[in-house]
Amino acid sequence: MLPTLAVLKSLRDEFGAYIVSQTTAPGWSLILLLAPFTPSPDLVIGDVTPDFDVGNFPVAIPDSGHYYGRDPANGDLVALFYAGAGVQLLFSTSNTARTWYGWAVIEVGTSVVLASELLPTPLSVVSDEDEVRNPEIGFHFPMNLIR
Amino acid sequence: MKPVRSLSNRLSTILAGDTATIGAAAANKLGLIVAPFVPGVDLLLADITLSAATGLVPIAGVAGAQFESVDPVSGELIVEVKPPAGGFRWETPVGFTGPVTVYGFALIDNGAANLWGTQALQDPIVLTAENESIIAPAIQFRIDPTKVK
Repeated sequence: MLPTLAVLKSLRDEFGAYIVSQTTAPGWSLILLLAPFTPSPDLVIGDVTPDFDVGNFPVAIPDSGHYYGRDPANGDLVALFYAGAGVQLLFSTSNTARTWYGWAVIEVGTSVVLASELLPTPLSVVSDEDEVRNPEIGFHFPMNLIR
Repeated sequence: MKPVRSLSNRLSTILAGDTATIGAAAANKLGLIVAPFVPGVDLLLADITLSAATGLVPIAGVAGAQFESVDPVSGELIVEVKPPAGGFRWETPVGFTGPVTVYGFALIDNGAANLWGTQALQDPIVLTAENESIIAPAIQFRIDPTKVK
């Protein structure tokens, strides 16, 4: 059965709410990844190299301030996560130069990987307080997700 | 982001129990669509014609969370609407004259205010006399979790 937009929107909202609800202990967080990897439904922590270095601790997904909308470019429904209302999640480095290849949602404490994404191009930071402000951290739900 | 399987598999649980739509506390209803239509995500209730004829009115399913499972062959996540006792079955009553052509099925909310989904029959069924019946196939929403990105 082909769902209507109302069903897809509700699923997106509930999925986003589910993820946000998991920020309580042990908590789900975003963390940058230091080595090349391939996003996959079967990704585990051993497949990636999280950057736990000083200044690069995981960024918790907060309880509110997220965006649920529709991408006008392709019609996808989107759930995007922010640090607060309209404020992008922010990573910064406080010491050594490094290259980030992407990021992952992990469960802090158990280090279970929940999701991952490659940066379009690896990003190298070289000095104190270089920052990464990613414009979009979240999920896309295409219109043909359900048939 | 690309969710891992354990996360994307939550989609069916969430949809099956979504109290705003498929898992509503007031049982959703399955109705017969009796005018030509093209299934689409942008369809609204006003875009289709549901039968209101005696014996052919929408039938309430089961309230609350619906079935959810995984197709072992395709890996798709399945949310299946629970049929009521007796199933989603319609029968033309005594004195029915017709003809009424059934083009498909629509899942709507209990108060008939919202459309949740549509399914077209490959070949429309024409009801012309009393004691003719239609039994709906399994009403399933099939989610391809690999499409979430």
